[in-house]
This record gives sequence, C-alpha cells and structure tokens, in this order.
Amino acid sequence: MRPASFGYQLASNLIDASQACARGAIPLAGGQSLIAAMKSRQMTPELLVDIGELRDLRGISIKSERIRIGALTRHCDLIRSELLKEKVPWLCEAASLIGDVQIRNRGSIGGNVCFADPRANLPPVLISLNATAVVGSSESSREVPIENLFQGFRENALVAGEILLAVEFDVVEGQKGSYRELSPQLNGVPLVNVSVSSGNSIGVGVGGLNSCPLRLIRVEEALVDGIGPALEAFDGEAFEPLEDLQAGAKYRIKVGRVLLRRALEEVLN
Amino acid sequence: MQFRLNGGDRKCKVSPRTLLVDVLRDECGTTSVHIGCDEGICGACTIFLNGESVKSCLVLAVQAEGKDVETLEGTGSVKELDVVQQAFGEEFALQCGFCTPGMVVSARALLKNNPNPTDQEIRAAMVGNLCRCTGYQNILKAVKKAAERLQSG
Ligand SMILES: Cc1cc2nc3c(=O)[nH]c(=O)nc-3n(C[C@H](O)[C@H](O)[C@H](O)COP(=O)(O)OP(=O)(O)OC[C@H]3O[C@@H](n4cnc5c(N)ncnc54)[C@H](O)[C@@H]3O)c2cc1C
Ligand code: FES
Ligand code: FES
Repeated sequence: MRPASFGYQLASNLIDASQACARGAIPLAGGQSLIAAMKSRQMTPELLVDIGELRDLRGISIKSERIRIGALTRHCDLIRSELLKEKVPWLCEAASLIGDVQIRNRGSIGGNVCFADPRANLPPVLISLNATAVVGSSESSREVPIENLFQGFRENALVAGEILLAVEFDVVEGQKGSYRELSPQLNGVPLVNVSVSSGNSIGVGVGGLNSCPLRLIRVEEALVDGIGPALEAFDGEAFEPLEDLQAGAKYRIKVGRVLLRRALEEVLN
Repeated sequence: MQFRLNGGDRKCKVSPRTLLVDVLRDECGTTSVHIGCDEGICGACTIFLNGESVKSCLVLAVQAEGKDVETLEGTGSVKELDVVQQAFGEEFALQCGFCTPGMVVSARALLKNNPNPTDQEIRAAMVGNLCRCTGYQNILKAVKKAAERLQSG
C-alpha cells in the first residue's frame, strides 16, 4: 500500500522542527519504522517534518567519561564507531542485529527509541547503561531517564514540540555488558531481548515482555544476593507480553528468563 | 524534486506520499528496481542512495532531494555485464531473476567496503535480500568469484 496523503516540511534547523511539531507534525528521521507504518496505514499523520538533514543531531562524542550519541546517528554509525567498540561493544552488537545492512544504513538510534516498540534492539541496552534522553523544543530542553520515555505500545513520552536530541550515559573503567535476543528471523525484530551492564551499579533492561521496554528494578536490587535471587525476582514480575502467531506469553517469559540468566552469567562471572 | 540518477540530473513532480521506488520505476524507467514485498523485507528494491545501499520502498521520493541515486542501469547493461553480474550468470546465481538486481546492489555495496569478504561476511551482508529460487549457495559463490576477479584487477 501507499501512505495516505500528508504534508511535508524539511526542517533546516531545530527551531523549525520543534515549531512544526508543536503544530502537530510528526518527525521523520530515517523513516524505516515510520514509512512502513504509514504504508500499512497504522499511522496516518497529517504533516511530517523531516529532521533528516539536521547535522547537529548526528555524531558520537565523549566528555569526562560520558558518551553522547546524537539522535540521528544511524545504526551503521554505531557499529563502526571505534569509541563504542572499545567502551560498550554490547551496544554495537545490539545495533548490528537490527534488520539488515540496508535498514541499518538509514535507521537511527533516535527513531529506534522514539518509536517505542516493545521489541526494539537498543532500548534494553540504553536502560541497562542508565542512559538519559536529552529532549529539546524551541523553548527549553530537559533530561529524562531513558526508561521514562516508554509509555506504552509504540507510545513515547515526548510532548508536542519536543524532539529527542541525544542519549547520554556514563562509561566506567572495566565496565562489562551483554546483549541477548531471540529472533525468529535474521532480519526481523526479536521476540524477547535482554541487556545487562555493570558500572557504578548493575542495570537490567528487557524488551518484548510488556507493551514497552522495561527496567527490571527488583532484579537489579536482588543482584546484591547473587544470580539465583535475581532470577527469583524475575519470576515474581507480572509481565504482560504481546501474543501473536510467533509465540505466546508464557514462552516469551521463559525465553526472557533464559536470556537474563545467560546475560547475568556473562557479566558477573 | 531534483536528484541525480546514474550520473544524470533528473527533475520530477512528486507528492510527499510518493515513494522513491515508484519514481524510479514509473517516472524514470529504471525498472531494474523491483517491488517484491513492498514492506522493507525482501530487498528487491535495493538501490544506492549517496553511495549506500537502501531499500527504495522505505524512502520517500522527497527524501532523495539533491541526492545521488544509482541503480543497475548505471553500471552494467545486457550487452556488457559488470563483474558482479557476470559472476552471477556464470555461477547460476539466479533462476527467475526477480531478486537479482537487489542482490547485485548488495553485493557491490559489500565489495566496496570489504574487497575480500569471508563466507560469513557475505552471508551477513546479504541478509536483507531474499531469494525464492536459488537456495543462496550459488549467490554466495558468485559474490566470491566477483571479489576474486575485482582483486586480481
Ligand atoms: C525489515 C525491517 C527490519 C527491522 N528490524 C529491526 C530489528 O531487528 N530491531 C529493531 O530494533 N528495529 C528493527 N526495525 C525498525 C527500524 O529500523 C528501527 O527501529 C529504526 O531505528 C527506526 O529509526 P528511523 O530513523 O528510521 O526512525 P523513523 O521511522 O523515521 O521514526 C520512528 C518514530 O520515531 C519518531 N522519531 C524519530 N526520531 C525522532 C527524534 N529525534 N525525536 C522525536 N521523535 C523521533 C518518529 O516520529 C516516528 O514516530 C526494522 C525495520 C524494518 C523495515
Ligand atoms: S520491495 Fe522493498 S524490500 Fe521488498
Ligand atoms: S532467482 Fe528467483 S527470487 Fe532469486
């Protein structure tokens, strides 16, 4: 199918983009989720504002052991980044498992986060790294813990006029991490994914076990007593995974537990 | 909108909802760009946009404004196949041929960045291109052969 009719505006700066969003426009980044959703008519926006040419939103940098990744940085850029390969290779691995070469040449980290799909690859990693979302409008900017950006199935917490500018997280000497997913198809979204990162504290993020990506706070807390208690804490969670022809809820939770155990063993042992 | 197609300038009138794949096929006649799944999965619509392989069924025409688009028509022709096309033919890497244009673009994209890929790297680079006929083995062989020929000059 072809998308329903819509208006299109190319933003030449952030203020432009933000003002268009305040009037109800939807930002278009790489379009790898949005255009697909518009073609199937799951989304029928009236106006798109193309933020694809806002160069300031692209790039990876580090300042006093804090990494900043611009929202328009593409998956292929994450995979090639020497800095990320050295500091957080499990983030690169999660990015390398997104779709295929062609999708990764256009899809951005901002789009991956803002689409707020429960099965997206990057949110669990960013949650486990205790990342912050830097969100801005033409008037102000604010910082939000990344998990608070996820409100429900494909629903993010941005308010009208706001655009995701970047994600930031601290890196610590000797930090370890793991990304695990089970994907029925090589180039499709995973059924369930899990990421664990060490650092000042251990972070645990999961996807596919609820309507949006989650931080498992009780699992994180139980980890002071070891992996066994952490898995018990996982069993005590009330997950509500999607169910479809690929897998039912019970199976997804079971897979999530296995992936979590493997990720914890990799990081802690 | 204005863009460069296979080295020449192009001007087209499009509405925002027009997809790049439709402009290429219907307005420009570059029908090597196929539509298979139309959902971004099969890779039959793969083209080069500013030198990078992308799926043109997931790109709006307006997003190609001012950019460089390259399709198979830009390099090989039926009379004069390029190295990758030649290798696909010799290795029987196609049967119906529907997936082939996308396969060739993806193979070229790989060889541009990695002139001497391992089997594993070839498979990883072609994940976004589906073939319903060949079973992939001959495609793998063809890409290897093209790599060898390109390397030996
Ligand atoms: C065949 C196929 C396979 C895929 N496989 C995977 C997979 O394995 N794993 C995975 O995680 N994803 C997968 N995806 C989904 C997609 O590629 C990614 O989620 C991609 O990161 C989306 O980024 P984008 O730049 O294309 O975003 P867009 O499609 O442009 O935008 C997505 C959403 O985010 C909003 N948005 C984008 N940027 C911003 C911003 N800076 N501020 C505010 N809002 C913003 C848009 O308004 C839109 O609602 C797949 C897609 C396809 C077509
Ligand atoms: S037609 Fe574009 S990927 Fe299948
Ligand atoms: S040769 Fe028929 S689909 Fe590949």
